Amino acid sequence: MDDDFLNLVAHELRTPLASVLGFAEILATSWERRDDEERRRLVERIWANAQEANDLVARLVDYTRLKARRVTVRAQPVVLAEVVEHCTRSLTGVLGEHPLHVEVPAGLRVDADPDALDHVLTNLLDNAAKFSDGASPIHVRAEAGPEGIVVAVVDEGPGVEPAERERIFDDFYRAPAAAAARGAGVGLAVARGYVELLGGRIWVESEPGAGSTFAFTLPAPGENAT
Amino acid sequence: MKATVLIIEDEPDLREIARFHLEGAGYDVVEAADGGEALDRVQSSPPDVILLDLRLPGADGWTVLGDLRRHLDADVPVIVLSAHSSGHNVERAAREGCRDYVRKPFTARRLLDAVRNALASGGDSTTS
Repeated sequence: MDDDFLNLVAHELRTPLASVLGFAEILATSWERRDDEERRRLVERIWANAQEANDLVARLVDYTRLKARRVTVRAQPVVLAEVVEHCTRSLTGVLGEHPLHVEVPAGLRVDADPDALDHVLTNLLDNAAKFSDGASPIHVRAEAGPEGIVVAVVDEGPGVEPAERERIFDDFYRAPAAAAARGAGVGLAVARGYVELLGGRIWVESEPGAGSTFAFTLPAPGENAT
Repeated sequence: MKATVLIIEDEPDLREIARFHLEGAGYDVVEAADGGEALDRVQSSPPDVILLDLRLPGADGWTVLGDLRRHLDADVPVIVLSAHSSGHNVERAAREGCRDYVRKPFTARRLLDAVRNALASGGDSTTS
């Protein structure tokens, strides 16, 4: 593990931890002067920032395991809508005020490891929520196509410049417009790693200023050649 | 007269934490979330000391520092407030004349000591 990676991890963890420790210090030193509502608000900020630090650690563990090729997937026929439902239920904190529209045909099956698919969707939805305005909708769509099943996460964010559409999946890459965003810059790399393990491919379609569609393919049951 | 502290920091939580400690110690506080807001604030409320994050949306902290220096009295002390702990950044802050380098996470005591010392010191730059 090189110094650049350690410095990046340390920096990204310190940011939410600074809020956790800062609000905890405020509560500890001014508890008597604050009413219940104010105490609750500060505790909720501590909770949210601690959750963010925990999510970051989970993502970095995912990333290092993928890089070390220590992840195995066991593909099986799964109902896509059920995996999407399970994933999005656990992401309410990440999605915040973004309305989520799931447009996945009932009964559509894919050949996938549900945990690996959950990792892909989690990272794509986290990316969509992070880089689009707080109340803009996010869509999850799926349909059968010639390459198998195509799943897409669609946002109304600033979009991706043509020159960045390949690099955006690289480890630690940050588009210039996202240079100050929180996170380790591995979410899309992790998504790509899992998609490739599942026998699919991932790409982004986007026009600057008109949102982005992050799409990936999965084999339909019976098609998986991996 | 109260001294005014300008906080240039894109994380609202960290602005709130710093504001709480600074107002509790008797300072007036002005906030900016990026370099553009910072330039507006220094014209409407000239600060006595500036807390500057290095990773900001748009122009980074070093660029904002240069912009501010062109608009402000050179003696207005600047304190870097950053989660970057590399020696490279600490050394650059010293070279750029910043009075102190406060690492995140920070305690109330560390922050207030830095502000107090910056206000009390002359033109010399120091980092810790």
